[in-house]
Amino acid sequence: MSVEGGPARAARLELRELMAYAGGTHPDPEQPQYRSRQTFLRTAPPRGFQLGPLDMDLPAGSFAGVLGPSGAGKSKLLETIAGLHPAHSGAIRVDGRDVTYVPPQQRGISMVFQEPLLFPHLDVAANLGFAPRARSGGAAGVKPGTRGGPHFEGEELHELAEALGISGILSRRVGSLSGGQRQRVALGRALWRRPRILLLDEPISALDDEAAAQMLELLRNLHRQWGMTVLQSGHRRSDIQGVEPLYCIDQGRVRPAGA
Amino acid sequence: MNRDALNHKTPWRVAARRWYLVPGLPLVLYFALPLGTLLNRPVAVAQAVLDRQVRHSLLLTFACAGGATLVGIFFAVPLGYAIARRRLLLARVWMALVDMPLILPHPVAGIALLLLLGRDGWVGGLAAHLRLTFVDNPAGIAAAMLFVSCPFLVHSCRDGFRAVDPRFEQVAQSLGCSGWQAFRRVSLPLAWPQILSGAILTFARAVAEFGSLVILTYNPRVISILIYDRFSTYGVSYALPVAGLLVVFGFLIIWGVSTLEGVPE
Repeated sequence: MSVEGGPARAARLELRELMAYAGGTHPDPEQPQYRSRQTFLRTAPPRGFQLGPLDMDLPAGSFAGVLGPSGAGKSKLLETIAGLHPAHSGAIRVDGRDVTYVPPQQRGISMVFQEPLLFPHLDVAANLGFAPRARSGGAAGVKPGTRGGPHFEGEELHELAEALGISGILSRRVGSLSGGQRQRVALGRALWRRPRILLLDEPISALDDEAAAQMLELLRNLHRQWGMTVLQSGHRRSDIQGVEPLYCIDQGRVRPAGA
Repeated sequence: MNRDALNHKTPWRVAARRWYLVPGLPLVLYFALPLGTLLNRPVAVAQAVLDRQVRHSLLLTFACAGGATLVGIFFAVPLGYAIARRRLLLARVWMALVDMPLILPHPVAGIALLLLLGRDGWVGGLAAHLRLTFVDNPAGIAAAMLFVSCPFLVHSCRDGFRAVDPRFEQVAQSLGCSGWQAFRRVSLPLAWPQILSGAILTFARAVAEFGSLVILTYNPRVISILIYDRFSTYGVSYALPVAGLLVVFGFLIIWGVSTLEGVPE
């Protein structure tokens, strides 16, 4: 792969006593980022699914995994780390900096969802380069006020597409792509931002065996060359082989594998 | 007999496969035939273009309807979005309020607007201090058009945003977009065909408005009032060319906009 460098540097991800509820409210009125999400009728933690309290520690540059059955809270965990789902209590730290209440676009974290969710009104190239351009040319990071890190330019988009094996379909509409191609585009779209932390929510669960094997190999190669911190979830052990550290999740509770 | 011919070429079988035309075609004819009767004097319709009063009235109507539609888009898109994403308390009450103009007879809407926007109304009184009047003024025409036609637009916006998977916005945010950017770059373009379809419907309904305008702003005369005025004063032969002209222009505008902007058929 000729796209050199990847993210400016991988980041360490720590979760401390993190709790979240499926209802999606945040009870801390002192946190302005999430105040707008509250309604005055919903200030108490809602009933239903509870995530955590959980602790995780992902060293910078690691390829970590979360293993658990369907409905165990894998997606909710990744969405909470990405900032798409508010945390109820505890802390999410990126390189020691508390980002628990930082809006998702300022966390330097990208996420690939279980379904590719490609934007249907854009072609493949526009999907790949969707992430907003940085306001400053500084290194990728989670500085408040920046919109993600530096981005690939023109030619680099083609190089990224080549690395992902999708350079021949850049001008195609996303509706005509196969499942494997879609997931590759979704991965490239997340990488375009050059994230320090990449979250992969069961990226191969919807793929056939051959496409899944290719995707896993691609993920390994990209991680090896770029060195960003990766957290991948899966519900089969074979989906997340060779990850370190590995956590198990069940009914919202997380523990290190083997513990 | 050739089996294919038996299966596919028999007129009865062809007709059976197009069963939907049986109820659909009469309905289209039911719309087309009365409109056709308005165009049965094409020369008179063409001559109506030369009538200065007709030209002015058409221009006023389309300008006010266009203005009301644009103002409607500005307000209806955020409202439809908020309702679709369940970000409003008591959303059903909001929608019921928005739908009220649909159930009101339009003269009632005119009376309500007159009480609010008239010189003695509290909005009309405030506006008068700013030297803005609604009664017998194009601003009043646009206001009445907005009142009676905007519910269509709110419905279209709400349905358009409902059809967009909210996870697309989550994806956009995970890619570094703010909430506003996610809305502008993902949800709005995906909902746009339906919003535009609603805008065309709103524009068309605004052009056709009569009942509330008769009460709020009889003058300057929009095309519906001009047609009624000529019909009641001089008879049908004077009203017919103007009505025919409205049919032609209305069809061209609606067809043209929907073709250019790719509104789903």
